[in-house]
Amino acid sequence: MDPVAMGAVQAPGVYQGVADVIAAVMLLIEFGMLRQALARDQVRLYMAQSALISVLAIVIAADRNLPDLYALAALSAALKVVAVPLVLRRLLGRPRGNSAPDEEEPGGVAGSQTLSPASAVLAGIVLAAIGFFCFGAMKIHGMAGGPGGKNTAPATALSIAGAMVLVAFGLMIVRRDVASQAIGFFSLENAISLAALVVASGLPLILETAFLFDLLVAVVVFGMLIRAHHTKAESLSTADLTRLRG
Amino acid sequence: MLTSYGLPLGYMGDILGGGFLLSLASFVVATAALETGSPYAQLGSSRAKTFSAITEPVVLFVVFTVALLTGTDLPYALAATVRSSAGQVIRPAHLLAAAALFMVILHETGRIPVETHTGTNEFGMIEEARAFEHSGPYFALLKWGSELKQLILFTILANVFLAPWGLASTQRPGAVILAIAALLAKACAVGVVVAVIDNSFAKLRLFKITEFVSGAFLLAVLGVFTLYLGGG
Repeated sequence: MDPVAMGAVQAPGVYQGVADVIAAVMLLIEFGMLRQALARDQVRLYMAQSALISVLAIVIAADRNLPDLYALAALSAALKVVAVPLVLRRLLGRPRGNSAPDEEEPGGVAGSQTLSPASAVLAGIVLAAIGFFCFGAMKIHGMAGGPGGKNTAPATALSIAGAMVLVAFGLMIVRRDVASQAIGFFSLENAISLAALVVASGLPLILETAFLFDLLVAVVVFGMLIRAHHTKAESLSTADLTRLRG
Repeated sequence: MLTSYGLPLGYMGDILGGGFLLSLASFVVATAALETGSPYAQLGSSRAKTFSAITEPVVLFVVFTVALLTGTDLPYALAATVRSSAGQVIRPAHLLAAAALFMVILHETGRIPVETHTGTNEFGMIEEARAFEHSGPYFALLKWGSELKQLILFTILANVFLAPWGLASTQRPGAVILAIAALLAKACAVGVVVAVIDNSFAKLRLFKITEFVSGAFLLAVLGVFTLYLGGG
């Protein structure tokens, strides 16, 4: 029997399927960060997410003949998979003042969830639904620029990117420690570059690189914030800051 | 879901019908356990019913995904859809639903919860406790039933979601024997994966089961979202 005749939904092509699956796994990793209790594992998840977006850049580059994207993939892999996690680990390991950074978890991360993991996931599902709905309702079918010129941007991947943005916001909201908030912010940048990749993959390399260096600035600022907050409050939790309200 | 040609009355047995059959069997086992009056058997059946109630939404969302993908809720229709093109295999909704179903199967066959499948420690006793007061042929029947349930769940996962290839396409004995061998091989492969997971992860505390199931629920809901809201 012919499945399409039975009312089956026509599948998008294999390329689009691969892009959508990579985006979906990135969203799942975002949810993983929401549940994860240890800062070290959050950094690992961030590395995995960044590695996936580099793979997605390579897939899109191969499909649409955009050699720029290979360079972007290499650059973003070097920055987000190697450099940023390295800096984050040093920052998170240092504040305790001991010489071996990996031996001890920094304080304030494990107990910083304001919601229980299951409720946080449910809240994340609601946020993701809003993201999916809003981006799906915009009906953006980005014209793929570039010489390869297949004009089908994966609309599903764009909706997933929208959901990821909101879930990353959620991560920053439900956690009380500076480290999770920083990682939520960095993965927010991942979500935005995912959206940029799937809708405007023909973006000039210089602009994409500028985004990446934007991230570096954020790393430096967050690093200073983590350090300063830790030396003042002797914890990574922002709960103490609520006392400062007037 | 054992053959790729239509069976007589095949259209009557949808996924919900199969689910009803399995739940009816589980209900009967729980009632039999209550009837014995033993506290452990009652504890086990009460736990089993509680946790099967929280996996129910996950199964429902997997069924929704199947329904959105195929326009029916017949398992063999999904198998035919998956066989039809590579694009159907790799779409995120299909993979997410398959992963969610796999997690439900891990839970339903007692591979993830607190103690091992055959554990008799009362802190984590779920499946084992229900057959606690049975012995002899009845106990053997219960054991056989739980193994049969495991094979049925593995078959659903392999022949409908993951690898619906190698099914019998005609009624010739050669094709059927080949299909039986393929089914057993697929069930063994799923079993090996389950065993590796079973032995390489720490057991969860009883109240962490909700978190495990909320992970499966997340996968299933995202599968529906990507289809219904994301248009993929």
